[in-house]
Amino acid sequence: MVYNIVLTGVGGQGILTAAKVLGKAAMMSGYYAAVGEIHGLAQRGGSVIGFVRISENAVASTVPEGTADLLLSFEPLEAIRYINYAKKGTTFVVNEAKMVPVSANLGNTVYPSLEEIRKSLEEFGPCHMFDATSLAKSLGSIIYVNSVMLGKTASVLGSLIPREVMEKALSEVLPRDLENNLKAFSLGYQVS
Amino acid sequence: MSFLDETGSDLLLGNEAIARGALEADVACVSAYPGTPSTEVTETLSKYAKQTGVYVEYSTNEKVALEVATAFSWSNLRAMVTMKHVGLNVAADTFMSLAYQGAVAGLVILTADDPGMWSSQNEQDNRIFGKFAGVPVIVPSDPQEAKDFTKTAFELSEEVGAPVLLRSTTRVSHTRSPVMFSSLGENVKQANQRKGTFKPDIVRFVSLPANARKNHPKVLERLEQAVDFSRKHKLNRREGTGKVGVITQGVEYLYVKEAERDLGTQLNILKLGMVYPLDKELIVDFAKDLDVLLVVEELEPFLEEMVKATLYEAGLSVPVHGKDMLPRIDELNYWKVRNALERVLNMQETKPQIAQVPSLPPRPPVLCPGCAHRNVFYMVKKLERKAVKPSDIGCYTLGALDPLKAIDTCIAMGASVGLGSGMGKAQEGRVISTIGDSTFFHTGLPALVNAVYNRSKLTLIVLDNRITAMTGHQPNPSTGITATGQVVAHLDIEQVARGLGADYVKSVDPYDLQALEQAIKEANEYTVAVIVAKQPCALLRQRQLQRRGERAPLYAVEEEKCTGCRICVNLLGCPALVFDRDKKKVSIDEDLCAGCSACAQVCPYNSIYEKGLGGEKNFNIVNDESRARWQQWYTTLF
Repeated sequence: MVYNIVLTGVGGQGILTAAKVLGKAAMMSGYYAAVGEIHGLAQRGGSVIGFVRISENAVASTVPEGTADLLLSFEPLEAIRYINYAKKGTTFVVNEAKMVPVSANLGNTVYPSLEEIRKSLEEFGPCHMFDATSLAKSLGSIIYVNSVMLGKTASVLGSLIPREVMEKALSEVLPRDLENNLKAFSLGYQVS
Repeated sequence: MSFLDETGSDLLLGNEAIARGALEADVACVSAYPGTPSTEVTETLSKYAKQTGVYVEYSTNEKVALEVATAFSWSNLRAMVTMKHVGLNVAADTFMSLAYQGAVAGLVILTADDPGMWSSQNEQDNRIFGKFAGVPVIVPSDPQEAKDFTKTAFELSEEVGAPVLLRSTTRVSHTRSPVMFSSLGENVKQANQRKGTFKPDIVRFVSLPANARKNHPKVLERLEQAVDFSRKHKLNRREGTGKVGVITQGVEYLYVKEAERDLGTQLNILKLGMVYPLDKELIVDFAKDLDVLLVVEELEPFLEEMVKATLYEAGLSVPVHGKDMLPRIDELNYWKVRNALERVLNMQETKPQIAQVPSLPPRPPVLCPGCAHRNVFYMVKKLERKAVKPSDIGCYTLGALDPLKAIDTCIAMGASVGLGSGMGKAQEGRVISTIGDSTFFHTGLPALVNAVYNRSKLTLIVLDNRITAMTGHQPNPSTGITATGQVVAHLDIEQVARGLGADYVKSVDPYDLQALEQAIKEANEYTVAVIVAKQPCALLRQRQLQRRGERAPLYAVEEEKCTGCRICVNLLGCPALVFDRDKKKVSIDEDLCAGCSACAQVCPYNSIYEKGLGGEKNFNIVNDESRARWQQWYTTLF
C-alpha cells in the first residue's frame, strides 16, 4: 500500500510545515512516511510543491506523476499547475483564496476563474474548495492557513490517519501558538 | 521526541540525519559554507552546539571551511565539512592535495549534489571528484542510511587515513523519513569542548614536490584498504536472486525496489554504499551468472563505465545496460527506472497516464515585498540600460526576471566581480556588477583587488542585507554574529572596500531612491567604485519586527488619484501590488506589504501614501523620520 499526497501552493504559505505534520502523523499511525521537500529559491513567492507518501515499505519521497491519491492545494491556480500528478479518482482539497502572480499583474497572462479551475479538477475526482485564508484570518492571521488545510485533510483521510493523531502531530510540529493552530485545525475539519 | 535523545526514532530530514550521525560519531568540529541542498546539516548542529560541545562555524567559503575541518582532523579531532556540489569546486585546490596528505582523526566531506538543478547552476556529479582525488565515496539512499553512513564514514576515514566524501543528493538531503537513533558520542553527551594536539610531520604535511612524491602512493594504498573496510562493514549488499541483475545506489535504489514490487518480479540487486573505490571482486562475483545487467544511477555513467571495464578485465561478456536506457541529464524517477527495468525484463513498457498541464500564468520565485535588491535593480535599469551588468549567486539572481531584467550574467560565486573586472577591459560600455554581502566575502574580495590593481573601470554595488538570505538566513561576516550566536564585530563592507583601495566608496540606503540615483551617477566619474546598498533582508526584518511586537508602516493607494497606469507594477514587480483589471486601479495587499515605500516613490501621480496609526495619510514619503527608521532597521537588526 502506498498513499500519495501532493501539496502545492506559494512559497511562504507553510506547505513544508503541513507536509511535516502529515509525515509525523503517518509515522505515529504505524506507517513508513516519506516527505519530499524542495528548499532554496522556491521559498521566494514562487510555486511550491511537496510530497507525502504513506507506505508499508521504505519508498522514495517523490510521488510519481499520475499517481496522487490526494492533492492539497493552498492556492487555486497551483492545483492546476500540478495536475500532471493527478489520476482518475484523485481527491482535491483546495484553498480558494487567490494569490495573483506578478506575471498576471503585468498583464501578460490571465488568471483563470475559480469555476474553470473547479471544473478541470472535477474531471479527475471530488474537489473540496473553500476559503481557508478567511478562516485563518478569523483567528487573527493568515499564518493559520496550513492548520486549517490540515484540518480539512484529516476529515478527508478518515481512518487512514485518525484526527487525534493529526492533532498530536500538529502539536509536536507547532508547539508555539498551539491553541490557535488547533482552533484553525478544527475550523478546517468542520468545513463541509 | 528530541533531537538529542539517546534512543528512539523520529521523522528526520536527510540533512538532520547526517547531523545526528555526526553527533553519534562524536564529531568535534563542523564547518560549512551554506548552500542548498546541504544547508540544514550545519544549521541543525549550530542550534545544538552548546549542548554538545561541538565547534560549529560558518566559514567564508568552502575552501576555508575544508581547511578549518582539516585542522581539527590533523589535531586528532573528528571533523566534518558540509557544502553543496559546486562548493567542492571552490574547495578543490585544498581537496586534491589533502587526498595525498590524508586524515589523522576522521574527516568527512559532505557534498550535497543537485540532480535536476532545483537550486543550482549545474548538476555536476561529484562522485567523479572522489575518483579524481583518490578518496573513498559513500552514498546513502535515505535518511536512515544518511545517519548510519555518516558514522561509518568517520570510521572509514580514521581506519584508512583518508578524507571521505559523503555524497548526498537533493532527494536524500531533503527527504524526511523515520530514523532510528543510536547512542550519542561520549564527548557530545557530556558537552565537552575539545582541544586536540597537532603533531608536525614535515613529509606528510608540507607538500613540497619531494614529499608529494612520497605521499602519492599512499593514496592508492588507502583505496585498497577502503575496499577491505567496505567488506568488513557490509557497505555494499546483495538482495534477491535471478538472472537479471541491477547495480544501483542512492535514492535510485528506492525507485528500483518500488518498481520491482509493482512489476511483481524478482531482481538480483547489488546495492552499493561505497561507490568508489569499486570492489571489483564483488562486481565480478555478482555478474558472473547473470544474463543481463542494468546499472541504475543518476547523472554520469560513473559506475557503468567502471563495471564495464571490470567485467572486460575478467573476461565476462554479460550485456551491461545503463545510459542507453536511462537519461544522463536530470533526476531519475519511478517511471524512468520502471520503464528501463521493463526493457531489460523484456516486458511491455507501461506508459504512465499523465494529464497535460494547460498554459497558466507562470509563478517563478520573485524578490520578496520590501526587498531592497528590487530598488537597486530598478535604479540600475532606469539609469544604465546599456551598461554590462554582471551579477552573482543569491536571491538577487532573480533580478534577471520580468519586470526588473537588470542583470546580464551569473556564472558562479564571486564571478560578478571578476567578470566585471574583465568587462571593464573587454568593451567600452559602463560595467555595473551586483553582489550580495555573503558572496562578496566568499570570493568577491580577490576579484575586487584585481580590479583595483589592474585599473579596470567597474562600479560594484554590494547588496548588503546583512545575512546569507537565499539559503535561509545564515549569519556571515556582515551580520556580526557567528553560527552559534556569538556577537562579534560587524565587518563593514565600506571600510573593507576603502582598505582595498577602491577610488570611490559610498554607503547608501536603497530605500531612498534619490540617494541611490545620486550614488550610481557619481560612481561613473571614478575607475573602481563601490556602492554599499545597506538595507536588511526584508523577510528577516519583518519577522524580527513581528517578534518585537512592532510592524513596518503600511502603504495604500488613494483610488481617486490612481490612473491605472501600472507604472509601479511594471517597474517594480512587487508581489504586494495588485492590479484590478475591472476597476483599472492598483491596490496594495496589506498581508504582503513590508513598508519599503518604493512604489510610493515611483508613482508619477503621488497616489500612494503611508498610513498613519491614526488613519492620517502621509504623501511625503522620504523624510528625516523615515530615513532614521530605515537606518535603525539596518543597524539594530540583531
